[in-house]
Amino acid sequence: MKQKNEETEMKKIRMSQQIRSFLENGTYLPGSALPSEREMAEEYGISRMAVKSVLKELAEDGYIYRIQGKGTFVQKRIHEKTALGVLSSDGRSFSEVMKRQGIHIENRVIAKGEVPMTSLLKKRLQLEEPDEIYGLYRIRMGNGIPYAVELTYLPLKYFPEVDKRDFAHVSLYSYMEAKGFGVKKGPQTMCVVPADDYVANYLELEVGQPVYRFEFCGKTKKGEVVEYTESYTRTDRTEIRIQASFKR
Amino acid sequence: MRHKLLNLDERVAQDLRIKIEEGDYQPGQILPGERELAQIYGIQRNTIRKALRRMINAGMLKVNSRCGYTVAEPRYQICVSKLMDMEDCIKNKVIVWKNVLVSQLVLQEEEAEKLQLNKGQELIEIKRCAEADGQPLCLERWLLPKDRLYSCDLSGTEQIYACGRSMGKGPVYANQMLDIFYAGSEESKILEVELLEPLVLLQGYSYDASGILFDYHEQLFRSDRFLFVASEADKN
Repeated sequence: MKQKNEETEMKKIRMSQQIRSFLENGTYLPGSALPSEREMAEEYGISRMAVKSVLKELAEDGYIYRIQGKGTFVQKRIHEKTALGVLSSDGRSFSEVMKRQGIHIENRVIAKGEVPMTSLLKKRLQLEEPDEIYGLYRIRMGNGIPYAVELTYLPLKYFPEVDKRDFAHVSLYSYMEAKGFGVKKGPQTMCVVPADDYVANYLELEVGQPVYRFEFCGKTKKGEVVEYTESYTRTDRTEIRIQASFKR
Repeated sequence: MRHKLLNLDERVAQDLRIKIEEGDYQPGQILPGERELAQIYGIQRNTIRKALRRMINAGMLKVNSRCGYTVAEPRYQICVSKLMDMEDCIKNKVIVWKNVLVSQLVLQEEEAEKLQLNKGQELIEIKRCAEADGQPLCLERWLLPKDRLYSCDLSGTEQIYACGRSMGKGPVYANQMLDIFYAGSEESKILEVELLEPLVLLQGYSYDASGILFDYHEQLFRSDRFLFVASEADKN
């Protein structure tokens, strides 16, 4: 049974990779319809359920979209970009999306340790005076190229042993989840600012070049704020895609 | 080069930021001078200057030789995960549409391919610039399928989504993309920015409940005046 599951997983990955490459090289043209789920199940030798899950991921990554009752279509992309990353509004982290694209993610920790409370951190993390804050500054890289600098702040009261962890090799969110604090990203804000010395240095840019500045908090289901992050991203290595909807 | 966490100037900048956020300092208000701030925070004037520089960079403060440091207007917030007309995003100001151009066009091959729309489709094109307080903010271009939506004349100053909804054909979802666009001569003139100033380009294709294209839009925002928000809670 285990071997069969591994086989299916392999086939799913292969299907995902192949469809992605067909989309990149124009075999599937933007706006055109994909083969039916049944046809794809036959082609790749997997169940329709498996096909559905691969298509779901591709839709989440912005490659395809589905219209109820009509089928699955190739996303119309405005321009081709050698995107190293995609930011989506559905709460997934950057690195999750990039892993699926087959890009090798690396983190480097630039600085870490306790930081003094400021009125901003107090407000964002919803803390009170004697609470302590831990800062973790990282560079995120895809295939060895830096794409983001992330400044993360966490309340030490939830993660007293955080300093012992090596976040160059461990995902922060996995660590938090293991400690019982499953994180959900709150609303993210983005603005464009000129890169300062610090950011320019780590992102290999000139001072003053535009970068995306993201800000967000991570909360648990119970509403505890477990992180506040400021993230600076190169604009040329990022695609930002959002699904918008109209709510009454 | 900073290797430590949260240097002193950064901490001061964070503190000033909260003061602005909470309204202790109002937009347009002149901040205390560098010397006074150095006294208030009990640190060197040099450090204060660094902190203030950070805030100018982030667009939160402005500086001129006459007044010193003043609090900038807060950025307008655009929720990119919701389909909203500009007038609904910016509620505290009156939006005036300038440079309005409405025309009918049929897409030729090259542009159809670039925009990934159907060649030969009859479209209404609206170009316009949103202004508030006499300042140009956002340059827009809309392409609307003629047959589907509009049997009446458009002035070009309508709230486009509201229009569609009032006809029962409003968009239900959209695929949007954000990118940087460096201002060319036309954009720099209309938006009153320098040539090659980075602007935020929001492109989107919106669809109605039947999955048919409602509009294609390009919006070029002045990057110093806007903040973009994406919220998971907005997804259906």
